Amino acid sequence: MKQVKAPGSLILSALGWVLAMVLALPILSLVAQSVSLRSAAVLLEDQTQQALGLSLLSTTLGLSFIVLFGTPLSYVLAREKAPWSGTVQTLVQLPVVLPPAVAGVALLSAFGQRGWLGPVLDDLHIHVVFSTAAVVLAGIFVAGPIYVQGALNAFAALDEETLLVARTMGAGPLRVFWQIALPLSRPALFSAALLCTARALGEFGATLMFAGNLPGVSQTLPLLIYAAMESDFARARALSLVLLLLSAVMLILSLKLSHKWRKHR
Amino acid sequence: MTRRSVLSLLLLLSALPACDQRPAGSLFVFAASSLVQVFTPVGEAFEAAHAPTKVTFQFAGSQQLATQIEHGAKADLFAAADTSYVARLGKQGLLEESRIFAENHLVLVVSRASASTVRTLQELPKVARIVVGAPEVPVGGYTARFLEQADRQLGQGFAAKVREKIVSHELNVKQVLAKVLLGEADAGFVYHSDALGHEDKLLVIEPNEALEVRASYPIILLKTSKQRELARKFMSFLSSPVGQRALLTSGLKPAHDP
Repeated sequence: MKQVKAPGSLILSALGWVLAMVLALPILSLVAQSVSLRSAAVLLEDQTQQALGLSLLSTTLGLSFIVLFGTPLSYVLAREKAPWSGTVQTLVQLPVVLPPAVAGVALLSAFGQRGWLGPVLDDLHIHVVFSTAAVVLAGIFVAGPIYVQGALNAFAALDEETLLVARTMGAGPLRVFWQIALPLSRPALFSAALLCTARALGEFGATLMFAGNLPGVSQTLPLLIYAAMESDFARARALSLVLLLLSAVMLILSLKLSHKWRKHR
Repeated sequence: MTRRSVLSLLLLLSALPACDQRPAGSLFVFAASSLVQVFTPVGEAFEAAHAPTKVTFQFAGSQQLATQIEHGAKADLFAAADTSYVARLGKQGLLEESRIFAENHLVLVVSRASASTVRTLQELPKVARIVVGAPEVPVGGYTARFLEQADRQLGQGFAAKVREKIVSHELNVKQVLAKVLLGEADAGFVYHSDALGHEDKLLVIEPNEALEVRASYPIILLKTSKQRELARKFMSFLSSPVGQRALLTSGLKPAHDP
């Protein structure tokens, strides 16, 4: 009974490998065809460094915002079962499944000249569209849900009794959050943050629509890759490799941390 | 159960390549996005005149289409927004023949809100936000050439002043137009044909003759085409009265045969 039947497991693996190959083949081909001395040279170009710098800056700013406000949000959504929490959860998760064009239009509808906040921002002489702030906002919009989902899962899995004991011993809600919930969920939160960073780094469509494409202001690495594709495919491939490597590192770290959290839970 | 679903999945997958095997009398045309309004009616008229022919278009930026063709996309014809693609595809051995079928030119569009600030080309540097095509795409190249010419004619560092106000290098001409139509940008450079029909929302400033930058549209018959006869018919259909009318109504100028 305990022993797995060999033919059955073979069938299962074979089926699994089909999808694994479809997913892995494009990535492996990209790496195989792009690794060259020339791709190393592309890394040193000013335009690449400018775009990479902007990508890292905007992602860091976006991530800080997401973690600062997303952690309490996820905690509240996970621990306090308010009647509205389902609706809020759906709303804040929605951006992750939106097509890039819809995300771009949505951002314009909120922060554009003719958007809801347009007149208010105009009075304050703030012009969001075509700015680095727009890049950051687009990143928050598409990557925020990923962090919230991860953090929500972590907080929902907290041991009820531990929290209850802390409360009965006189710890206030803030203290329970800060000294018990956060430390217990740390690996899971880091894992979610890394996954969300990788998504923000790769953000393209909404940024193009909402922030435009100007070197040094809004041209992030994915936008530079797309622009390069218009003139020099080999260069686009070399640049893609940079983004791929960055994302791979984050994904590996994220998986490691998530594994660690599961084991110690 | 599993076996049956696997089998049906395999069958489904094996049926997919059949999508590529188009029946004879079916034409696949790649066309620059600025040609949407022209080719849609031309295609319908061509289908009606050559029944049961079927014409399928794929509209996108010329660059994107050229890249797809170079990577093996099976098109019969490619109508590009810039003549450089003729040489580029020729170098790759993909060119059978080509000719220029239409001309367009660059215009300045100004959003309604800024129309009182900018009434002439000279006043362009007064606005806060200008969008242009990226240097990598045809409209961006034409815009750069336009600015150089204008700089020589108008002087006073016109081009530099304009460049200072550029807030985005959009990746195709429709995006430039959209940003101005939305009011996010005050002004932008698009093709004459793109501005057509938006006069209620935009001020269109036509440059004087000396400044005019013309864009030529070549139509390229690709070596990989298996429908050369039909493809040639489509090429000549563009210079037929129906084709010429469609070009004119969508703001393009028919090119005269050499």
